[in-house]
Order: sequence, then structure tokens, then C-alpha cells
Amino acid sequence: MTGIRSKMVIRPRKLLPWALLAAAAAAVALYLWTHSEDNETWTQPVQAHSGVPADLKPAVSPSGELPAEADFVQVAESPSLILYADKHTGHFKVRDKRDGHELRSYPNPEDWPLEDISGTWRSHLLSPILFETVDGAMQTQEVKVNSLLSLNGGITSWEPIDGGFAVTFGIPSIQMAVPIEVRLKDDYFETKVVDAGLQEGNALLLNLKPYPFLGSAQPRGQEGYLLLPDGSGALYRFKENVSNDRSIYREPIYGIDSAFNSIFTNRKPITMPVYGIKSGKSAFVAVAGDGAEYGYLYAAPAGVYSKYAWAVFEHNYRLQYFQPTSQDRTEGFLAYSKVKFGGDRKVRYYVLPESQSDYAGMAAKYRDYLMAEQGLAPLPESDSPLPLYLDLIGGDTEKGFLRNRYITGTTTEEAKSIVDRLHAQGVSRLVITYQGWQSGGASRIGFGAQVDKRLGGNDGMRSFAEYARSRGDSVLLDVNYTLNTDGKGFDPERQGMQDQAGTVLKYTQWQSNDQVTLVSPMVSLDKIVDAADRFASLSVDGLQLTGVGSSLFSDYNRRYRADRTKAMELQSGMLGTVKSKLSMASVLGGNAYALSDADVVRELPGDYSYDLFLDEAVPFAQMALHGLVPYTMTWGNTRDEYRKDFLRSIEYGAAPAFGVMNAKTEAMKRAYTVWQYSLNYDEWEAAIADEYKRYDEALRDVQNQFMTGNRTVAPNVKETTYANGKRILVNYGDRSVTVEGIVVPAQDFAVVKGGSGQ
Amino acid sequence: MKPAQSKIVRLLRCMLAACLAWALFPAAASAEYPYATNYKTGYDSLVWTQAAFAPEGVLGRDIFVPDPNDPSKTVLSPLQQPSDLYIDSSDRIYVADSGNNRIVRFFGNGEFDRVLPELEGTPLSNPQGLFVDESGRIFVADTGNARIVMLDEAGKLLKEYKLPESRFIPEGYRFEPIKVAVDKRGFLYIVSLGSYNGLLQLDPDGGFVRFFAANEAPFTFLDSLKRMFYTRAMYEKQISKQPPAINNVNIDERGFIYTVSYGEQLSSGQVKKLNNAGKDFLSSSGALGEGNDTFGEYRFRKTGEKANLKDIAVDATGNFTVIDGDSKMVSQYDAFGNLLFFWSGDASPNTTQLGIVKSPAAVDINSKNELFILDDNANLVQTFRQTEFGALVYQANNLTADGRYEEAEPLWREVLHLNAYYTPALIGLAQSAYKSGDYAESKRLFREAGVQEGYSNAFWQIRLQWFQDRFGLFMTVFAGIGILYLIYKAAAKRYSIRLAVPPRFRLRSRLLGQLRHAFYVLRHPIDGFTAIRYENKGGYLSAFVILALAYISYAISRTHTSFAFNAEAIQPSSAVTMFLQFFLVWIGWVVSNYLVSSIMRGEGRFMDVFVGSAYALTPFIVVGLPLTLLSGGMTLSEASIYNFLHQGMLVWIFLLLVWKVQSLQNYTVGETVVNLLYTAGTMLIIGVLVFILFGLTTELRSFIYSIVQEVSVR
Repeated sequence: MTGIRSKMVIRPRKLLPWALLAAAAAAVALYLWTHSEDNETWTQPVQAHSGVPADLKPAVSPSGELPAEADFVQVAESPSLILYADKHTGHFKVRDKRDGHELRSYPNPEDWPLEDISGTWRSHLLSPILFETVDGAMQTQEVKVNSLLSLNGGITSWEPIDGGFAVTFGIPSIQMAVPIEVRLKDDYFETKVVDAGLQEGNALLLNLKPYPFLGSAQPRGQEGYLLLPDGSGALYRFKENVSNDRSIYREPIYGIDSAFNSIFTNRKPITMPVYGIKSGKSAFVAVAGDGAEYGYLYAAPAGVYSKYAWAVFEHNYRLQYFQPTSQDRTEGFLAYSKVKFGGDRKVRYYVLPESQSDYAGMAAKYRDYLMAEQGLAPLPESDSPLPLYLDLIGGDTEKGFLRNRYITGTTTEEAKSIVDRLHAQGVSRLVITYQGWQSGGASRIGFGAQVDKRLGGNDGMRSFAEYARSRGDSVLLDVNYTLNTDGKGFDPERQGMQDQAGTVLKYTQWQSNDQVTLVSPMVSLDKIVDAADRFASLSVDGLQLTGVGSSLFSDYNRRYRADRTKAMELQSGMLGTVKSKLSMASVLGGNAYALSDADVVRELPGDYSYDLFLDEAVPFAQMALHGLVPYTMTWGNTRDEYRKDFLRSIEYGAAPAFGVMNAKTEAMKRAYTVWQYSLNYDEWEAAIADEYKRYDEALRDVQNQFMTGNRTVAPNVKETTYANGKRILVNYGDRSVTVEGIVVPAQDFAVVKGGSGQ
Repeated sequence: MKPAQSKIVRLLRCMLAACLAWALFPAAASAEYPYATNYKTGYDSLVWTQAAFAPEGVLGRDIFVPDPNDPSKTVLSPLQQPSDLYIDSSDRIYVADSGNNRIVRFFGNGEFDRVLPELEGTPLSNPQGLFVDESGRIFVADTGNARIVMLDEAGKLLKEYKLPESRFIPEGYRFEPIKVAVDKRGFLYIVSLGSYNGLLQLDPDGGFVRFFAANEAPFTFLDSLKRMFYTRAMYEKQISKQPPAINNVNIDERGFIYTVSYGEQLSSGQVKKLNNAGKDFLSSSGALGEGNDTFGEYRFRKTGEKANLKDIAVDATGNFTVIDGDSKMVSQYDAFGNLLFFWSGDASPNTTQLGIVKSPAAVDINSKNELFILDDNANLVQTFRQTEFGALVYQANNLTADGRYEEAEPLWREVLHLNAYYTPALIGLAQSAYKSGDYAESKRLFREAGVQEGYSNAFWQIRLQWFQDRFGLFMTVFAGIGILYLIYKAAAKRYSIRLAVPPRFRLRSRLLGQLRHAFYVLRHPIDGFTAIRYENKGGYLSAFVILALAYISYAISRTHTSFAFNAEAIQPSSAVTMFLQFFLVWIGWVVSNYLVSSIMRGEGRFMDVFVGSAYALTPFIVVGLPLTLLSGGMTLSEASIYNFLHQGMLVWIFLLLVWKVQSLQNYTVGETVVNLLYTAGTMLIIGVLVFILFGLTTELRSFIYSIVQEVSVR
């Protein structure tokens, strides 16, 4: 007995070695676990170095600073353009055979004598590539702005290829090689940064601007401007920089990526990867193709970096991300990934003939591009009535005494009566988007297809959708598969989007204390594939995919990795899924990649970001889209300026849109999500009907027409022209104005039917 | 981690969160202008509104002066660190271009007019303030030369004002004039840099009149302690004891003098609107209660943030606009100091946007209600035009301010149609409903707007009406009761009727007995609590029942007491928060009191303390509930009755707790006092400990995590 008992006694000292062993094992496991989080290996393998010769001759022109005219040789020709290239500098020029204008890949030589910038920026101006690096070994974060010539780089190879030439720039000091191909076709030429040949030494390449001063010009009294896709489109007119404002335009295409550390700029995101430069009578429009999603648009007004005004697509190869070191993820440091983003980067430059050398011509060319390259088609000819886009607020929740309290906005029965009343008021066709219909209202973001019982449930929605269809209307449900708050069928830690440091991207909506998690795009696609049939069984006509086509984020979640390129495809996949099961899909914002599958773009910006160096907003996006995809601007009932913004949406050809509910606006006073300050349908009925009549008068017969012109005809008076010759004159002023014999009343518009077109 | 960098990183994260919210909710940021416009209610709840002013353009890019080298040519000569802006009665714009030592004038349409010619004799040196009177004379605060100069319209020197000799000016007074304003009589009001003596008022000839409108030195409880213990010399050395300095001055068409002040401790009275006698017209109380006296708004105030107002612009009707140099917030108030709008956008260091002023130095408004803000960093003047919504609100508010409620009503209705949450519209409509005798509607609107005085006034009228309507009925009832009583008396005399005493039922339930004991405790606290200790007159069950009832009464009185006395009635409230507030304090008291008592040789057991403390809350039920009910029929004119009853209830509870301690623990009065003090101390310590415990565990977890991260990721 005693023997057995003594065996049972455990002496603490005996356990010590085991504990140490266990601790060591745990430490090793921890180390392995944390290191396996390094998401460095998946993008692409590091290139083997072939080396840049140390004695490479700098790529300077043998005759002066700029390339000499005599050094250019013709390398390609198309029906309208000829491409000449200079082997010494790697530069090229394109001659337009139609009117003789020349577009050069370097600063305009006529302006060059006036340039007084010196030092490295003078080298930058002459260089075919401009790029930023950080020291790879040190990770000191000190970003260096370099160019081929500031680092005495040269040309390692230059050879003609089919339709153009291929050049490889080499920089011996940092062992970097950048291969670029330039090809000519029809009325455009294309630059391509070939990823396969891109080499780095010990400096990490952050971004690259190929031919930054292509088409740049100095303000010398000529009519000229930069067109930027800022908001609806904005013009920077060439002018002397007389302020000490040195700000530039630099914005990511398709918006910031929250997986990375972005600089906040308070600007509207870029939805179209395009810019244009007009100088005198020559103009071109540049469109970023492959790799656009990893591009920034960079534009500098005259007098900031040199006297030239210039713009270029900046191709990003690395972005800064935040590596937290504290558990609450507030402490940490900024880092760059060791592996760069892959993929070829293509930019097309469409050379515009003199007759088309304005922003209307640029928009027309981009419209052609959308049709030829992105599969958009003109809307069919028909005399269908102009639809009114009506958003109905289902419900929301607010904080209650014991638990959250539901606030009913519009039940499905009430929705039917709203439809009836609007038809009775003369609105011919409605496209209704039901928002906040899920159980719990607008604050609940989930993957479910369960309509809140207090709105009538699924049966109520089905009956409403069928009723609306019987009256010739369409019903869409607003869903957001890129966010999740309810956790149903979703595990935030496993299926949420993560940044490069493995942080799940989520934030707390503090009013409702909800954790809003960004959903991995791959999961979003899976979920919508699952749900599509359920939505179809609700008998609705389609879905509004909030979040799709308006934000584009990389996902470093190891289970569902998707870079921006892949995320873009997944978003298109979501739209495609909806279109395969239902007849309509709508998006907000409207990034270019989402346009081909969208039946309508909502919330298209109707203004610019008010940068001080910019001069005015122009309806570039609207001109490109009108006749291809219908679009709306913000709701009529929440406009900043009710009348002025109404006139602007007439000028910009946007379809009428309102967002209302049956309940009084005050009902939503403390709602978590619904914030708009005037939503009651009864109050707005008359105004909606009135405005609809005005919209119908202006826009009904041009729904499928291209918008061919937009100009200022008198102070405060704008004119929009459509392909069928119809003109709309909009007077923003406080006095009635007579333009070419047409009286435009104050704060109103006049319609002039096309004389010749139809 | 370098602290500086991590701070930046934190900032970046915040910005990222903002971006994220923007990207995810484009609709929530649908406003096209680069800033958001808000209103804030009296309860600090933020209201989003349409923009009141829209960005229009910039001034100051077209200043050309003759080239000093070649007078036949002109060269661009931009503003350089300009510090003041003034718009005269004919809308011409003057800028004190301090960096260039000159005054620049623009036409009313914003085009450059001229640079005023250099003064003969001493030229201007760093002029930081200017003022133009009705006859077009220009007064310049010539800071570098420590003088004010008066110029004629063409810029010719008319008069020079230096610091006058006077025995009222303290020795060592540094005269650095930075701003100046002149009233109709030609008296000058001068702001001297950092001077806490107030404005220096000079007569038209330059003689000293007085120091005017000095702010009061802040005085806190801590100061009074310091005054007790510090020597006089020590106390006087305290910088914070100096009154806040005046930043700027302005005079409107009606002769009101506006001062704008800034001080570390200044939390109200940042703007003052003074008449000649120095009376402030902004913080005075009116029919709708105390006037607003804090100026310079915040959307979300960070701790310790104080408005640093730079300048004030007053329009023709007395509405004024102030601009905050730190937060860049533009805030607008009406002539009585009621908030109308405020706005600001997120200035990014990388962009310069129209409508976003990075370093505001001065603000002014012209007769067309166009707002001009001088940016001394961008060296430009930004202009804003009033929007449709802004104009509508101003028009309506001006009518209401004039007492023309009926005319204002349709305008306020339109405002409310465009923005259902815009509180001034609710107040305006409530006032017009009150004026037209629709008191029920007025009461509803005042409640919606959160104006207690207005609500109470409307209710007073309703109550009066109610009584008047039923006057006959009341009289009948009174008379009836009187007659019945007389009949009863007479009958009783004759027949000596004895009313049957109803038989008393004795419920034998122990719980009911214990509950009934609560009432006994109210009447005989000492005996009652002793009985709890020694006669088992209370148990856990009865204590819980009373506690629950007390909590329910407490919650009901917090949520249902008339809005006239209880602003919380219209705020969202949460049962859980209220429960925690109620229960944590109570349980903290019970535990502390028990611990202290057991050390101090008290006789009470834990159960006794628990039960006794619960029974002491009975006044919540017997006074709180009826008072809540009663408050529904009271107006602010009976506030003293309400407050007496409410505070009496709290005093009663406190006394019950005192008696509880005394009788349960069998203490003398002295012991009771000591016990109470110790209990209060213990509660405090427990609170601090719990706080530290929670804090430390989180810190420790985060510390270990950060070590692991630093080792593995770096």
C-alpha cells in the first residue's frame, strides 16, 4: 500500500524539466506560427538577376538636352499615325497624319528654352522613366524619387518589334532594369511595362511613371487643359502658377485599398482610369488597361515640378502597410512588402484629330474604348418612358430601453400604395430599390434573403414585386455582400478580409455597437451564388450590389487570397451571377470594370473635389456613359441645393432619383444607419411628380443617345448636346437669359429639339 | 518603437478609418462639397444639414504691382502672411498684407483694385489689423510701429494714434496694437497683443478713455484653496490667473462691440456682444431660457480641446460668424447667439481645396451675404456664397427674431420639409404656434426641439385652458361635496351614525409582514432598523423585492418625469445603463459599509446591512413614483415645489441610511459619522482598484503581445 501511495505523489521539482520543454516547444510553435503569417511568397517568385553592366552609357541625347529631331527614325505606321523613336534616349514621338500634330514622349521642345528648373528635376524632366524606391536592406522608409538620368542609367537594349519598339532601361548603381514596349495601332499607341523583365537590385521599386512628360506643355497662352477623372471630371486649364500652392493630384484608380496604408486626401475616388491633355489644337486621351487597378493617376500643374503641366499613370509595385505590434493594433510600424505586385502595365494613348480635340472628343473616344474593349453596347432604340429611380427605406433599428427597437419605414403594402400614387401622378415607369428590407432593417448587413416580418415578410415582398411588375415597374433589393454585421453564415475571423499583417479589416459602428467586418471577396461571390436562387424566389427583378464597383481592396486572408486584379474579377463575377439569375443589377459609384454588367449606375458624382488648382467640373463621366448605361446622381430629396442640383442633373443627363419612406422622417431620428434628413413620401409626392415631368421633357427622347457636347454658352448658362441634335440649355443664374434667340428662364432650362438629326 | 512615429501611425490609422467609412458608405458622404455642415442641439446631438454656404472662389491671385526695376511693367505680388480682412459698407475688400507691409484693396466683385500707396514719413510695418468706417476712412493697426493710423480713402495719412499718457495705464503696459475697431462717434477700440486689460479705448483725438470689456479671471475651487494656503507673492505669479486675452474686436452697424477671446481655461463667453456700458447681450436669458454663451463648435470634441476663435464677422441683421484657428471650424450664430450652422472639412496636408481653409486668419461678410475667409498660409482669400437652404434659414430666422412669427411660419415649414431634424425650424414653428394660440402643437414642437422653458410655457397655457374649461364642473363638484358634508353633519348630529369600522384582515404571510415593515421603518427608522437586526423583520427576499421596486421607480422617474424638469425624458435611455448606475453604487455602498462596520465592531451582519440598505430606498417608491406622476401636471413655475419634493426624497434616503448604520450597528452618533466617512473612502478605493485591475490586465496582455510581435515581425 505504501509503495503505491508514494508513486502517486507528484513532486513539483520533477515537473520542472517538462515544463521547460513544453515552454520551449510552445515558443518554437509560436515562432513558426507568427512567421508563417508572412504573406510574402504568394505573389510571384523573385526574378533571377541577369545584371546591368556597370559601364552602361547614360541615355542622354548626343546633341543637347532634348532628343534631336534628326535622331528619330520611323519604326511603325498606322493609317492615321506614324511612330518615330530615338535609340539614344529611349524617347519617341508620334505624328498624326491627319493634321500633322506631333505628340512627344518628352517635354515640348518649343517650351524648353523657358524652363529654368535645375538640378535633379531637370534630369527627371528629360528621363523616359521616373520612379520611387526605398532602400531594401534598411527599410528606412525614406522614399527616394529617381529617374533614369538622375541615376545615370542607360539603355541596355533597344530593338524594333512588330508595330513599334522595345527598350530596356538599365540603372547600374541600383542594378535595376525596366523593359518597356511601345506599339502603334490604328489611332492609338500603347506603352507596356513588361513585368517579366523588370529587375530590382537592392532598392525596392515602389512605383514607376513611364514617359511622365508625354504630351506635357507649358502655359503660353494657348488653349489647353488637363482633364482629370476627378468626380464627374475636372479641368485644369494651363495657367501660370501664381499662388504658392504646390499641391498636385495623385489618386489611386478605383479608390484606396484599405489593406494598405493610404494617404487621406478628401477627394472623390477615381472610377475611370483615364486622363487627357489638350494643348492648342492637339489632344490625346490616355486609358490605363491591364494593371490599371494598381495604378495611381498623377498630375502636376504648371509651376509645381517645373513649368510644365503634366500627367501620367503611376504604376505601383509596392504599397505601404501597417504592421501592428500591439494587441489593440494601434502601435506598430509601416513597412513595404518584399515582393512586388506583378502583371504587365499597359496604357493606351488615343491621339485625337483637331476636330475632336476637346474633352467632348476625349469622352467620345473613351466611350468607343468602353464599347470596343469592355463590351458595353449602346442602349437599344426605343421610345420607352424615362424611369424614375425610387429608393424605398424598409426599416432600421434604434437603441431602445431594454433592447434595440425596430423602426418601420415602408411596409410592402405601403410600397404598393406609393407605386399607385406615383402612377396616378403621371410617372410612367418606376425602378424601385428596396433598402433596409432585411430583418432588423438598414443596420443589419447579412447574406440572408429574409424580408423583415414587420414589412410583410417574404410573401409581402413577393406580392409587392409581382404587383409592381404588373404595372410595368421593376423592383430591386439593395444588398451588401462586401460587409457583414450579423455573423450569420459568416465567421469574421476566418472569412473576413485581412491586410498584409493578418489584421482582419473591421471596425465598430459605435452607435449600434456592431462589428462591421469586410468580407473576403471570394466569400462574397460564394455567398451570392448561394443566395441568388433565394432572391429569384422572391420574384424581384434584380439586386443593387452596394460595395461592388465602388471599392476595391486586396485581401491577404490566406484562405481566400485575392489581389486587386482578382478582387476586380470577383466583383464582376458577383454582377454576372446576379445577371444570370435575375434580370437587373445596379451598382453605386460605378468603377469602370463594373460598367459592362450594370443596368444602372447610381450615385454617379456630379461635381469635382474642389482642388484649388482645378478650374471647373465637366460632365466627362456622363458624356462617356450616356446612351450606354443609365445613371443617377444623389437623391433629389437630399440635395445640398435643391434647385441648383436639379438643374445640374438635367445638364448632366442623369435620370431622376429619390429616396423616400412611408413613415415620417422624425421616426428615424435616432436610427443607427438611416441618416437622411428628409424622407417622408407624402411630403415629397408633389415635388417628385413635378420634377419627373421636367426630367421627362428633357431626357425622355435622348435616353439612348450619346451626349456629344457640353459647354458654357453664357455666364451661368450651360448647353448639353446629344447625338440626335437635341440641345438642353440650363441657366443657373438668377436672371432670365436669351441665348441664340432661345429664352432660358432664371434657374431653369430650355429644350431645343434637334433640327437635322432625326 | 519611436513615439513620434507611432503617433503619426496612429493618426494615419484614424484617417484610414475615415477613408474606409467613406469608401463603404458613399451615400453617407453624398454631399458634393468638400466639407460637411452640421447643427448641434442643446443636448450635444449632432444634426447633419444641407450646406449653408457653398465654396465659390478665391481672391488674391491677381495682385499686380509696378515692377520696381522697370516701372513700365507690372509683376505679380501675392499676399504674404496677411492677417486681417475688412469689407466696407460698399462691399470693397481690404486686406492687411502684413508680410508685405501694405494694405491691398479689392473691388466688390473680388477683382484686384489697388495697393494703397506707401505712407509718407514712417511706412507701415507689419500691419495686422484694419477697419474702415462709414465715411471710408481706413484705420490700420500698424503693429510694427506701435500705432494706429487713420488714412483717407486714397490711402493718405490723416492722423496717427500712439499710446496716450495716462495714469490709468499700468506701468510696463506693452502696446502692440493688432486689431482695431472704430464706433460711430470716432472712438477707437484697440486690441493689444496678449493684453488682458481689455480693449484700449481712445477718444477721437487720441486721448485715453478707459480699458473696456476686460474678461474676468477664471476662478475655480482649486484657486480658492490656493488663495488660502499660498502667500500673496506666490499666488500672483500664477499665469492662469490672468484673464483670457481678447483676440479680436468688431463693431456692427448698430454700435454693438463684439470681442473674441481665447484662454486655456475659457469655456464660455468666447464671444461677447457689448453695448457702450459693457453689458453682454449674448448670455442673457429670454423667454426660452438661458441664452447660449459658448461659441466655437465641434463635431466631436477631443478632451481638452478649446475653441481658439480668430475673428468675427457680423452681417446686417446681427447674425455673426466666427472662425476657429485650430479646428478651422466656421460657426454661425444669430443675433441672440443661437447656433445656426457650423462646418469644416478634413484638410489633408496633400491637397488644397476650395472651401477648405487651412489657416484661417480673418473672416468677414458683405452685404450680399458672401463670406470671405482669409488664409494666411495659402495667402489667399476664400469666398463662399449662401446656398438656397442657408438663405431660407436666414430669412426665416430673421423674421422670427423680429417677432414676425406668422410670416416666418411658411419659411420654417419649408426648412423643415428639406430637413426634418433642423432644430431652429422646430423652435421657430413652436414659437409661431404659441403666438397663434395652438399651445398643444407648440408644446409638441418645443418637446421635439428640446426646449424645456418653451414646453413648460405652452403647457402652462394648456393647463390654464383646461381649468377654465372645467371651471363650472369644478364649482359644481365642490359645491356638491360641501352640501353632502353638511347633510352628513346634520344627520350625524341627529342619528349619531357610527361608521362601521371595516374588519382588519391580518395576512399571515411572512413576506408580506416583512414588506409592510418597510413602512414602519419610514415612520420609526431607529426602531425599524433595530427590528431588522434583532427581530427578523426583514429578509433577503423582501430586500430584493424592495430593491426591484425601488429600481423600477427610479427608472420610471428618470424616463417619465415631465420634460419640463427632466431633459432625459426625450433622450434615448437604456435600462441596462440605468441599472448599472443604480445597482453598482448601491452594492458598492453595501459591501463597503459592511466591511467598515465589521472592523469597527459593529453588530450588524452582512444580511442586515443588505436588507437595511434596501429598505432605506423605500422613498424612491413612496415619494418618487407619485412625484413623477405629479410632475406631469406641473410647469416650471412650480419648479420650486418639484425640486423641494425631489431633493427632500434624496435627503430622506440619506437620513435613512444614516439611521440604518446607527441602529443596526448599535453606534453612537460620533461612531456613525466616522463609519460613514470610512465607507465613502472605501467605496472610492474599491472603485479605483477595480479600474486599475481592469486596466492592468489589458495592458499586460497587450505588452506580451507587442513583445511577441516585435520579435517575430521585425
